[in-house]
Amino acid sequence: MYTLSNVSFSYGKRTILDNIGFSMESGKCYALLGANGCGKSTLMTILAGSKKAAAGTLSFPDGTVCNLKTSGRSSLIGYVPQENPLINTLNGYDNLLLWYKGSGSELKKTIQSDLIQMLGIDSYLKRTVSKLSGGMKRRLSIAIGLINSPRILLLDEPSAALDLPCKQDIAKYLEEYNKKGGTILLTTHEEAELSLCDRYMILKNGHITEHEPGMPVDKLISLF
Amino acid sequence: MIAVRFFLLQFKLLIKRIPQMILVFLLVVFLALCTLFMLNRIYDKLSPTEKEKDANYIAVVCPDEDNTILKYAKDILDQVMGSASSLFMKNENDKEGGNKLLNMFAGTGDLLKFKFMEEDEALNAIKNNQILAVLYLGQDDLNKIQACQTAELKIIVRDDSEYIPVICVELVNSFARLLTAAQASSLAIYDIYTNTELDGSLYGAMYDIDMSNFSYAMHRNSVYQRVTVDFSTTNSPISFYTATALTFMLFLVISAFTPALSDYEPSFCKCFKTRGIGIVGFTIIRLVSFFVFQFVTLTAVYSLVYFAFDKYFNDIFNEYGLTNMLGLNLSYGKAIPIIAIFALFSSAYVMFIISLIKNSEESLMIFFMFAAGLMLLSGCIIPSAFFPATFRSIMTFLPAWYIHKLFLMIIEGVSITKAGMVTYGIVCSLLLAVSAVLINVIRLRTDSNYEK
Repeated sequence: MYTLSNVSFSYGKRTILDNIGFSMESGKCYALLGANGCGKSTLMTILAGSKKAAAGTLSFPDGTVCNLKTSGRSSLIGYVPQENPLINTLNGYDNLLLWYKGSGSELKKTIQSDLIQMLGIDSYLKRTVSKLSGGMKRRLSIAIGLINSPRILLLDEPSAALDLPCKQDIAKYLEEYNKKGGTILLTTHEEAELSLCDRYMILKNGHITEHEPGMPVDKLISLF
Repeated sequence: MIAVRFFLLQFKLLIKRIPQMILVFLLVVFLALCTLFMLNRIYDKLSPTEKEKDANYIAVVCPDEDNTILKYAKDILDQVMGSASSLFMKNENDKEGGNKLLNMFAGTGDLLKFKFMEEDEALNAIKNNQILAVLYLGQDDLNKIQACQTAELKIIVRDDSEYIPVICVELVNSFARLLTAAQASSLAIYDIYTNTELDGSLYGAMYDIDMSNFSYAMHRNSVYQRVTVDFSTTNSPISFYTATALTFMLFLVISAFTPALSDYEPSFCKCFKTRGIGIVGFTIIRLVSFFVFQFVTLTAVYSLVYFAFDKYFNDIFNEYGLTNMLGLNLSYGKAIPIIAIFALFSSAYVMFIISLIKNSEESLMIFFMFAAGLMLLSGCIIPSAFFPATFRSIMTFLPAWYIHKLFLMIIEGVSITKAGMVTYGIVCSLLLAVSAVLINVIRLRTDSNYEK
């Protein structure tokens, strides 16, 4: 069980996250939902280590505790932001190498692993990123998030602006990741992605409420 | 690990730009050679003839609008020379007296041959290469001398590299010795208003001459004032604008290194932070990678030019008289620190520019606006003499001023390791690097805050 506790964050005098906390089980997928500007991306970036919270901890099943007031926990948590974190003038392989913890030869082995293979990025790793389509860039970004085998994968609107086939592929991939024991926390506005989730976390006025999945959209929206 | 990887990948990005850089560099070299070739031809036509070169005297221009000042100056020279000669040039008798005085001085070896002239006559004479220089003692200068304050010596010289250092050193030395002699004489110093003898110890003066800056300083009762001869008006238009053209071409070459901000998606920095490297670290890594890349490539290019020059190009350059104008007189070892300073400057400049642009299409426009503005404010297009005095001091901290001065000194054969140019270069480059990092950090922070 991954446990998030007492997370607080403010922009100036405006409180975004007010002492929130929730738990996530291994191998499950959780949706972080809320109205625009409620703080979803802020919470994601705090968990990823890109922002520092005013307070809060994240506990791992093995007893590891991360203080969310510090940054730099990429070995534990993979983060795929909404905009692809790619260098356009480099090829896919160099972009992966930048974020990979190990050596180049170890990367080649990792790319051959099941999860990365599922993303189907082999065929365009040598192409410059600027020449890739949106879907290919997205898969590459997800590969970057997963390349260091993190325990939790954070995805910020993973299939936004992608075509239907691509959305389906990514959904399949996320299911596979869950099956292999990975935990996913994603933000989304797509119903198809909601159907993958085991639980909804709704963020409103700085507080989190947990809900069972499968409720009608109208009811869901009324909770925002 | 990610910092090292990012550093190396930056290198890879910069290496990808080499073909573009080579094209720009070749274009710039071609334009520079055409410019130098053309200017060399013009320079030949404007150079003084053998006969004109014999006219090696210096004009002294001194307005006599204030009889009190005249009397004071005359008194000083009277005390020194032991004769009562009139000096100033509003009438023929004064001129003759002054010339006689100066000829006596010339015999002592303290002064070059001086000749008093009216201002217009002196300026025409120097334009027509009839004299070497004009020493201009303005009204304020004489007031200051009278008050034992430091005066600014304005010297206008002919654009002849052989004479400039000699003339100005000699002028400053001689003038300082003149005043030293006047004040150190056993005769009393008179208060010219009350005509009473004053205690000479009140005017204990010490003169320090800093030849590298051609400055003259007067020390009076522990008050130290330094003045520097204003050389910005003393270069010929040809040298000045050759340096301006070369400065602009240098900025053009540097701009080829400018990668667009679109190289990175906005969320790139966000992910970088997940690795514990903040925006400041990200920016510094970029700056260091630019610097190392620039230093390595420039050293390689310089080595190629330096060792190949003698073998392949020297004869060609000599035939067209360009070697002298280029004034390449640095030893290989001494050039390396200069290259390092230049690499620091150009990498800081690149960082500065990319903090202002959003994409590669904007980069050319921003480059031209920034380079032109910087050169204008640094006195590269309009000489600094036309700017207010306060602004002239600020100018010396702008990188374009430094580069322009460097080119000017190379063209005129003045050693660039003197006159504090190396120190200037280091200070300018460091200031620009710090500014570039700060602006980049602010820009990246603003962009990431905007995404909230």
